Amino acid sequence: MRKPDGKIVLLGDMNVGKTSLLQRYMERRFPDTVSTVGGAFYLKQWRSFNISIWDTAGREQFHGLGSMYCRGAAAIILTYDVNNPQSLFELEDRFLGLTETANNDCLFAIVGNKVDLTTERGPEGGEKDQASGKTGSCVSSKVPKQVHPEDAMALYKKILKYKMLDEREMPGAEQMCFETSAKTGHNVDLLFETLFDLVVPMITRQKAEESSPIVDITICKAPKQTRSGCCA
Amino acid sequence: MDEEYDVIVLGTGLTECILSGIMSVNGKKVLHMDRNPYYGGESSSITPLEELYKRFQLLEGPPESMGRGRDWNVDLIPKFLMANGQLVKMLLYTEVTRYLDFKVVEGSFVYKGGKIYKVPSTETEALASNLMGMFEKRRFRKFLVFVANFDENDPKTFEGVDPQTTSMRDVYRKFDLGQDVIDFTGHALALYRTDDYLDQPCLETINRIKLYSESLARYGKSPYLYPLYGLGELPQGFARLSAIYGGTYMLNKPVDDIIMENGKVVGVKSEGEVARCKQLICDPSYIPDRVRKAGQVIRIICILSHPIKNTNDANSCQIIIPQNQVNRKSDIYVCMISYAHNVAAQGKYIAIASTTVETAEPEKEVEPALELLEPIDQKFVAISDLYEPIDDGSESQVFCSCSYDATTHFETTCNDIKDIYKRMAGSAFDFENMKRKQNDVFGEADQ
Repeated sequence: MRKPDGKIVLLGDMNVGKTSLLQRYMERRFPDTVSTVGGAFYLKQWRSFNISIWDTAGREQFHGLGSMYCRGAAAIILTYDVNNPQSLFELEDRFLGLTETANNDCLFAIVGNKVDLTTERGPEGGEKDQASGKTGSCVSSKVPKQVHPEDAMALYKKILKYKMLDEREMPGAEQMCFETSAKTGHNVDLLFETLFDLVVPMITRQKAEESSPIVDITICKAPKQTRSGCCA
Repeated sequence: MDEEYDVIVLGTGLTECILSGIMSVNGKKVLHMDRNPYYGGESSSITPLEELYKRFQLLEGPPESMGRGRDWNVDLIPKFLMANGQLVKMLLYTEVTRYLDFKVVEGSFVYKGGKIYKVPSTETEALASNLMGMFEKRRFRKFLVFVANFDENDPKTFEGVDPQTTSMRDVYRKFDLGQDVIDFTGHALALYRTDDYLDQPCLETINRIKLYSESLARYGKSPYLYPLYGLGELPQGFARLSAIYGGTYMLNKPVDDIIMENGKVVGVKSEGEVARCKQLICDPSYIPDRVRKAGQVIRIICILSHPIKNTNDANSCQIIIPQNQVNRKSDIYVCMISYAHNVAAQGKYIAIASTTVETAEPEKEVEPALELLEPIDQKFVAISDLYEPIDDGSESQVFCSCSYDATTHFETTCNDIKDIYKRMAGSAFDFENMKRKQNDVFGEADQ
């Protein structure tokens, strides 16, 4: 496997639909790819770059994420459920601290998922998320959204301030806040492809600055038989 | 919690995380807990720098000259990976390499007569080196060819040496190697810390010299690799493997009690809840009454603003001080890394001197190493007890890892992992056991 050129990570509370979001984007083009193992690592080729997309493995969500998860990330997708205000608060309370290990110029996207539940009539379809308390629940009419886009934009601006990033140099809040539905596919492509486009120049710049070389230990170079030691 | 698991693991040190990964990949239901809010336990990399000062009770904290605290990731134990060693094999088989990046350590040096000499990494360097005389070099070359060709399964390669009975002392005698060459071979190539190996059968020493040579051949500058952002990334990589295969991870989780029934472990109590299990893996700190002390290691973490003298301005290196150079029983090691590995602020270097404690004044014992590092901006002194388990777990089903020793590689740690695996699973460890069972990378990029 070739080393990825850049890294994007998903963060957010359980049941906000992170995995469904990622699967919706990746697997709609590969409908035959199915696995019972949580797909926690995706590779996307975008232009001439390989971008890895990290999802939390099912059980890491029990407060098990370490510093490695966001290490070196070029972009972080902070995900909440538009029907659950607490899931937005958790992004600041529990997840923002984990982003310390991301790149200094890391981009943030604030994503409100499950927007279909606020617009669609009829029974909720099977959600892929585990252990949802909403199993079997029905939405019999349009429900007012619990979290509004302005709330997400306010969080975005707060993050820029917290990270001491210059608002003028970073993308605007309206560009980086999305409302999506993993179920219907609404805005899913837009989310990922916006980030891919923004990440590519960062990767290009980073490659130009790279210092001494990282070795790829997955390249299996057999020790040369003619070598018989350090003094041979 | 309040659930049933096959295996509960306590402590997220490297040994525990590798075992957790192996168990999960093989279908066991694993719960992994650590009382700390970070991964790594004794094998962690401390960040930010303020935390390191706090840990060592230097209450005034770091001066401004140390730069931004979060640029630091300071290892508590000084070790490198042998490029052809067991830990690299484990990383490759588990594909945990996808989460980590490595650099080659830029040089390896050996202390002799008060000065340091580069361990040659090419034939040209070897011919130019002052470590030994010209005639000695010729005999040494013959010896190295013998070692390289030696195959314990092919008696034709033995040249009259019996791998199971001929002592290493006799092998050296056979090739007419002098004391200087013997010291260099045993300590800088076979990486023995004492001279006890001389009277042991030679097979182990030959294999260790082979490991060094093969590791050196892989990248050329030195036989060692080091992960960007510090050794603390290694346990996290293996923990993620476990999580992907269903392992449950809980940091910041105190362990109130380990519950035994009829001498066998049945569960772990934490914050009033009990998780039940068939087997338990833990580091020594979780079961202090079931381990015995087996010695001490001193590690002095030194922050410098300069590369070490006479290392050709290397931004990473190892220095070996053989024990007979300083009238000791065990070697002293220095491992140096720097800002180039994203473990220190720009322009800063971290050098860690370490050795097995032999006297009541361990700091005095490492003074020859500290002299090589002057001037030192800041020192952090840690003297750690070494523990090993009292029982093998066959009855209790409690499997305790050994503490990290004074070696500067992970071969002994991997041996501990293999041994624990064998006792838990009832069959010998095979690297094939670590392979991921199904494709868990998705996407369109070439694989």
